[in-house]
Amino acid sequence: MNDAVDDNAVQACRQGDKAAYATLVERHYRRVFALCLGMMGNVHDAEDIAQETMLRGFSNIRKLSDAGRFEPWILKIARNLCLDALRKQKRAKARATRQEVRDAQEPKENHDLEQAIKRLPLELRVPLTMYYFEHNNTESVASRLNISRSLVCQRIRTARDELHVLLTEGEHHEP
Amino acid sequence: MNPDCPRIRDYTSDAISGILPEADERALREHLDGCADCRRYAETLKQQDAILADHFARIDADMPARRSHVLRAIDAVCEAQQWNVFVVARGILTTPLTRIAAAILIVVTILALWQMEDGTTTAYALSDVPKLLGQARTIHLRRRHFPNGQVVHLEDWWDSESGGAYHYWEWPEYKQGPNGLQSMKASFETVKNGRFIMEVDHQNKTVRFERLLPVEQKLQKHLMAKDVASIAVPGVFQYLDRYTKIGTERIEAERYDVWRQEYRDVEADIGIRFDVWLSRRTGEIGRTRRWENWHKYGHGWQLASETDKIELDAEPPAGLFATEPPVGYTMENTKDTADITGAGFRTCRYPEGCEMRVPFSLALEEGSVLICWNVVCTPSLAPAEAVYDNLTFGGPLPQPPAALCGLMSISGGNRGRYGSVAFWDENAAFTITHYVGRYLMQTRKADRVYVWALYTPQEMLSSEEPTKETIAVIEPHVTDPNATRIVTPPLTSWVVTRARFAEYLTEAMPELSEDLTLPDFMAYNSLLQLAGQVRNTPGLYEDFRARMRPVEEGMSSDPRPAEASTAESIPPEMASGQVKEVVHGLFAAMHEGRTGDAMEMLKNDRRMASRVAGVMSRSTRLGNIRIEDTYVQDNAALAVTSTFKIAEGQSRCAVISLRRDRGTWSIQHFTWTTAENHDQEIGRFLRDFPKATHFSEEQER
Repeated sequence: MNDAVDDNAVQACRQGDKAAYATLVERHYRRVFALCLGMMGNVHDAEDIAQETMLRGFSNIRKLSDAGRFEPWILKIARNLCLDALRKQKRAKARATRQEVRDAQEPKENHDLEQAIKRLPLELRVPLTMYYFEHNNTESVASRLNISRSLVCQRIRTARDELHVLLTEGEHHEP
Repeated sequence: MNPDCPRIRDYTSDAISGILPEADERALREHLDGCADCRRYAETLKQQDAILADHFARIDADMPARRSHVLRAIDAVCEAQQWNVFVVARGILTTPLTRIAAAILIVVTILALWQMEDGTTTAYALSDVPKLLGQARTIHLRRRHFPNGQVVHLEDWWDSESGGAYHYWEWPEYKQGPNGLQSMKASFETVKNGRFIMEVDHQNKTVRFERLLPVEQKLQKHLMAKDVASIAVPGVFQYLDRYTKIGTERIEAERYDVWRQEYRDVEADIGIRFDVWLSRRTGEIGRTRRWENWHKYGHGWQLASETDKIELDAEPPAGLFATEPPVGYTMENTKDTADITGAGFRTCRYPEGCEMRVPFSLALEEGSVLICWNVVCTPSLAPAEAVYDNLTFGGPLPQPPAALCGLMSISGGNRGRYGSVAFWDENAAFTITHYVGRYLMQTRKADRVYVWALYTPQEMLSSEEPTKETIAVIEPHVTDPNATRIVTPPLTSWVVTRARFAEYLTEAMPELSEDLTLPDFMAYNSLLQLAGQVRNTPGLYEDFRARMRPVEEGMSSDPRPAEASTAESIPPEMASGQVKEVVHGLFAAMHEGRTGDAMEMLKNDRRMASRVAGVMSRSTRLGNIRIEDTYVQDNAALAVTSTFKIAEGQSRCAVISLRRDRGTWSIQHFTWTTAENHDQEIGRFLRDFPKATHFSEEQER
């Protein structure tokens, strides 16, 4: 049923119906944002890339071959944009002076939650973030990330364990 | 760490995710019983999970604004594209033929639009909100409250056709853990399918049922729109003229007028500001926000709660109103054994160990209210049978541990029906009408005793509305000194004509009585006659008013306007010492019989001051009270005493809040509570003062 709604909206959008794309934004933006947040590790970058993703989707809607598969398509756009952004950030970091790199890598005394989450490797941070946005539904996370449920569960276990280490290294402040 | 621990840690994570198989759950429990390290790890992981959920929920809370931003960006792209189209079009209008064709097209379009246009434009006002909500088939509300910077979510659905309702809410709670007081979020659901009410406590994993009689089911459906309107637009029924328009704002594709009402809640002594986003075009409520200003603590305006766009006629999720309990939860009762409750009265759980229900109430056309109520108590409080003996028609009411001794109604004022605290608009002049209660009869069904009583106002008060709003007066009759105060929950009753009265009563009797026959004296005319006799006995009203005086003084008092304290903060250790001196001084006054001094020290808590006389009689027990804990932040403090015996089988501790103003500490609130419940009192204080320094007697030894 969900695919049918997307199908209709995409078809209408291809005919120039802007309001139909607003429907797609309503239905999928949150998930796109969650993926971007997981990949980028901070809200600011996630907002920028999620917005860019939806704009790209709007501009390229005619290129979507299967109208009922809007969600996987838009999530793929989001993932690619995030990877591009991460590569740029990495190159920018590599060009930074040795001192700046040292400062950036120095473990902070205050292991607040955001920093701890950001320090998780990508393959753990993404499923963990999406798990909370999907209301703790591991099946849903697995379907969106196109991996098995057992792998999602394993990654969440590992993410929790690593967060536990990061957050108990020093003083822990609740948000 | 033993070889099993890594596996158990995985189990812990899976248990938190809710995916651990049952067999592994047993292994987990057994291991945790014997491994302190893993127990600590499990506890930390649970806290971490709660913190993460909170963290992402806060981020999620801004999703509507983000979506709106994206849609605006898409708008901007579209406008740019249209400009490009216009540029192309200009090129087309170069030949006479194309210009004529374009002109014809424009004229035809204008004519077509003219025919479609009905010539009127609808502009919705706040006063239209109750009607629009009343016409809706379903209403969906999503809200967030922000107690001390935390986010708790609430969600409500109502279906006027089926009478179904669904409510989900969260609340931060506090429990003692190995590292001190820890916060957690409790969540609850109430599901109504018209006949049954299912209450689910997700924290304690319990389920409980109640059910409604047919007339109460009808009342529940009727109240739906009114309840939502009261939540969405407080004062929408009485104080619409207090709203002023402060601007307009676009949310997503719709433009809204923003309306504001601001007043001071006299009882809590805080400023309240309420903003409503109303679409003039559709009448929909796009958002509401409530702000509070706890100026007496030096805080400014803080966002207390927020509601998303109220959705009308949306389709509820399938099965939302099903009253099937979650698997694995403890059933406190079943549908077959469910107590009967009323739609117009929320079960009153006061005093501790008692539950007062009103399964049935009808308002008569001349203003009296017939109420059937029953009290269920824990075994230690169960009333003796004699409580229900020697009662006569038209005579005094019985006095079980909780008694519905009268009613009040208030004209003017602005009492929110769903507020947990009645709030009083400082600008409202109000009058109170008292209803004296007289006994009619009692019926029994299973092990329940139902008291039937008539509550009569001194003047006739006919109602044109289908429902009558009053306030129940619940008076406790127990030995617990903490339970001498009267509580006043709201009551809504269906107004009936003479013709319908017998019909509803006859319909209710099989559920509330083993004996199905209705006595003659329960006829409409007999009740009118009794009402007349009661009105002609002014002494009854004088007695009732005298008992209500302390309660009403508390309602109407206008505390000295509290200014934000400008006193410099003192070091926490010094503050703690000063607080202890004040509290010791209070107990010394009580212990030494200096009633006047004690009442003077409690003057800011008028209700408690009036109980001092009762407490004094137990003064021999006050000599050994110690202050076990103090919490201090800036000019606010909380003191918690040791427990002591107040009566056989009853121990209490005192929890006292204080404030420092112009260098002097004064007691703001005094309560007795059990050792098990004092964490909740402490938690409430810490919500307002999260940076409080804790001093404990144990640490200081």
